[in-house]
Amino acid sequence: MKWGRAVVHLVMWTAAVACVSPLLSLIVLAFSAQWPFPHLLPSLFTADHLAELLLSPRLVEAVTTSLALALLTTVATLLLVFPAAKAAGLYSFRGREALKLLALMPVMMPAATVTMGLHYFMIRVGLAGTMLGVVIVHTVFAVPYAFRILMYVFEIMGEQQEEQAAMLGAGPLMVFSAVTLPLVMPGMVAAATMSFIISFSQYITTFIIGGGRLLTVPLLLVPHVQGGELHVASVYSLVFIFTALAALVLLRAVVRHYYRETYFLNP
Amino acid sequence: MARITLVGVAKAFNDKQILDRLDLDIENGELIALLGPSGSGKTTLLKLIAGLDTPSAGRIEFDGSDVTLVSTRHRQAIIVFQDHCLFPHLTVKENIAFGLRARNEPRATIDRKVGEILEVVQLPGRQNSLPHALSGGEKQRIALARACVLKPRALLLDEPFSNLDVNLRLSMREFVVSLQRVLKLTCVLVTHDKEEAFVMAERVAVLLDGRLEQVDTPENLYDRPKNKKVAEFLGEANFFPGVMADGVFSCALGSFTTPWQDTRQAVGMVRYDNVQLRRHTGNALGKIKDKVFAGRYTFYKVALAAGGELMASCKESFAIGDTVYVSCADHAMQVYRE
Repeated sequence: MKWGRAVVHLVMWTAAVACVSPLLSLIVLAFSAQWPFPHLLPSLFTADHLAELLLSPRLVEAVTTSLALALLTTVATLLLVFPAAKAAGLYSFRGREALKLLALMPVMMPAATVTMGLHYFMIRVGLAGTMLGVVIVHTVFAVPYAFRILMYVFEIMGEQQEEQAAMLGAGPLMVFSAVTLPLVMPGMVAAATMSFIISFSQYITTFIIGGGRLLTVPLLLVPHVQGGELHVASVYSLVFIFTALAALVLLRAVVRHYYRETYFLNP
Repeated sequence: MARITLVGVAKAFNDKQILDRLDLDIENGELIALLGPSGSGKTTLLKLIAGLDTPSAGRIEFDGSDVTLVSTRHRQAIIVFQDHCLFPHLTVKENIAFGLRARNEPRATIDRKVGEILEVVQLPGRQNSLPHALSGGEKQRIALARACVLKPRALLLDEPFSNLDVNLRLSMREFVVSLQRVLKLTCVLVTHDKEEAFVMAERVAVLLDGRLEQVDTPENLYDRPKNKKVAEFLGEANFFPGVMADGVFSCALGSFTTPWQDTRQAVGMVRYDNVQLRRHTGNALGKIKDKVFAGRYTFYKVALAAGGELMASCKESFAIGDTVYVSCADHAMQVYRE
């Protein structure tokens, strides 16, 4: 027992350190002015890069676009995935296994392959270089993950709760809003988080479909990393991390708020 | 509260017959038990009555009107499942109010009815608890309250006590019977537990392999199982092959009068507790081979001198190896024509 606990703690703390330590080095890098070779820490700190970059109009534009894309992708993904995941998780029908496999296809192939194919198609229908086009391609890559998550949640939930609600006289709308939705809400939050992160961190797909007309945070970040401008790259990385984090915290807060305040039966 | 009538109700899944043309009349306000082993189709039948599934053939009537195609939502037949199925995200009050909300009853009425039913199930003061904070018995009582508060036309209980421990199960049985009488509900209890069916129900319907083999009062069912299948299912029965002629059935235990006059092979059945063991007089000679003490009774395995074995349960005490006389009253011998 004792050993088991020690192992759990060891794994937990290792994971925590592994996750947080790169962030620390990013912060240090973002504030460093001079960092000569053998020193463990920079010899001079400054907030100049940060101030300069944070106020640049390009960064504001990139953050806004990234957030908008991620939000739209999340909504589109959830709308698409909810009915499919419910069907695959709860009901048995012909072709169910095929559907499960098909839903995974976009991530089983290299992203570039899928995107190239989609690009050709989007040029023809005039969606290349548009917001909608990029949302569609992000959604393609978010769907497999969100689908899997929600499908398992539906499998765990089972049909009985909905059946019980119907026997008590609830119509389809009440069954959905008062029983199904609250019960799968944790899965919805997980699926939404996943979709949001996937969209937020897309690089190659945004690059190809957006054709450079849509500027997102990864598009701003990657050239600086490749160009060796580590101060700039680390500032952008911090912005990237904290924007995503803030959006997710906000998402959870909204869900909590919704469920506490307007909880459908609470007097 | 409704009279429920099943007319030729059948159900098949992928060519497999689950229920085979059942006819059953359940009186208004009656508590009937559907007794059968697992896989006999009990739960399927319950789902058909509740409208969670549609029969492949036949029809279901409530008070004489056909409800076979009426949706679950409008049928007012509520199943209380073994695992209670309370909505985990709603409080006790919200759970019980669920059906009333669905009917758009005014808030004041809902509050009053929830309060009343919580008194009836003896759990006032748990209004704001969430289901996970309740004990197993409390959950089951809230699930019953949630169904009963709607005064459903049929209350359907699907093995509702099998997750509870023994003492709680006994008190829940009494509780449900009194609840059903107070609210005058038509109630179908599905169970695989003979004792539960006998103790609770006014009539018991034995369902074996999708067929209703016998629908009868507990007394009749126990004393006079209609056929060998039912007797075997109810258990604690000895079977003796024999011959029937001129109204007399003869087997290893002796001769017994029967109502039939024809001559043929037959099987006689005697319950363990109808077998009498005596030291000096009786029909057939035997020897005690084994004994098991079970509290109220001791079970004896007796080897008959004429060949064959039988089981008897009685209060008298014998030792292994004792010689005994075995006999059985005329009325205790059920004869089945094969």
